[in-house]
Amino acid sequence: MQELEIVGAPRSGAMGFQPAATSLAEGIFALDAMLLVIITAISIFVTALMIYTFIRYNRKRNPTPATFTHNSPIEVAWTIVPVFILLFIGMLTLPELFRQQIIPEADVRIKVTGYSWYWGYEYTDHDFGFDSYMLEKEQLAEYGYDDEYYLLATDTAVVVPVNKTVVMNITGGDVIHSWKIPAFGVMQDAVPGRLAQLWFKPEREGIYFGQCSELCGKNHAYMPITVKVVSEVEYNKWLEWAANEY
Amino acid sequence: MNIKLALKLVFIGVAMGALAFASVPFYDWFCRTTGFGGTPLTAESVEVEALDKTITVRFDANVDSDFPWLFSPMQKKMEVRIGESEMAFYQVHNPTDETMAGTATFNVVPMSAGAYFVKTECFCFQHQELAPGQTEEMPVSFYIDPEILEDRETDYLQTITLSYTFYEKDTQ
Repeated sequence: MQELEIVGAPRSGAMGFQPAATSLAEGIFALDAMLLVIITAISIFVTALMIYTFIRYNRKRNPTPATFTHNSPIEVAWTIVPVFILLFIGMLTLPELFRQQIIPEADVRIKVTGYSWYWGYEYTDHDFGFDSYMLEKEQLAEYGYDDEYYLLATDTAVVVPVNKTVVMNITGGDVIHSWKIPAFGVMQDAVPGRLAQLWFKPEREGIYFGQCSELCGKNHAYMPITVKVVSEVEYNKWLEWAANEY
Repeated sequence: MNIKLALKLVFIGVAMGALAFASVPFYDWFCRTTGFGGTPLTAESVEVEALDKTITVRFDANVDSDFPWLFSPMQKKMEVRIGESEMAFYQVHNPTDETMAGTATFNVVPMSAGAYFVKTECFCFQHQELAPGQTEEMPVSFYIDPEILEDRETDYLQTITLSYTFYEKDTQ
């Protein structure tokens, strides 16, 4: 397989999100940025009001305080303004939510089953499947990963072609797990006895890591997820290889 | 005074506990009636007209990891005319040397399709018992309600996946 850059991984000392590799992730990160602006503005406004009150109306400057407790215009304002803020946030959030939940027609279908404590994958259109286990520290080099990817890298990886729509059918084999790739902006609980779906369309080749994101037992931290996004040519080559191998 | 308060508190505790138990049949009824969370509806017979438009139904099978039965759909997918009654088969095999019983849970994805996926007959309605080594073909009859095309949340759908998970049950 071609040499792939590691794109979707946590970086030591970094802030913010991993680079967005899908339009879903871009949408979520944009929402986050928008919310941060609103939250920051409100926090500064409220803090400024409080500081002003501490200074202007402390005991020294204001020895005989006013005794009224109501002011209708202000009360109406602090009810109406938040309603508009919430409406604005909802207007931008709901379309993004529907975009995640409306599952498009798939180019690649993968069945994911969460087990205690590993992931099972099945390429349903190609009749093969494999399990994916976390690599131990001493195995990392053999599989071509640096030591810093301990707890993230797995022995086998989900391989998908770039710029194709991938639909994953997700369920749990024993207890509830959750399949998540932060750089794709996707996360779905894997619930035993129920099938659920998520979709993504990766736009950049590379290796992406994720972890089980629903507390599932003692090895919850040791069932990571590796996804390799490759060119279509590479993907077809891999399919041929995998159909024989697995 | 204290006894009265204690009785009140005990009553509240018992009532809350009773409601918790009552919520199991309540949610079951709620999901079956509304199709909420991808729960397929059930009907006695097909009472809608078939359209020319088709939809792909895919089939998925799971077995609880503690349950040794083998369970798989006999067709991966079917091209189904909306409104027309169709029958699909699953195969189930008991590889052990004892008689075992199982029952299946089910849902469809996308979950919004649950309200329009109607089953008229299904093995999952019954308790299944298999002798050692026995293999059984199990049918499910269903149709897709044409109203699926009237709903903004489902009118775009080209694929619906029907999923079952088998669990062990006590033999009767």
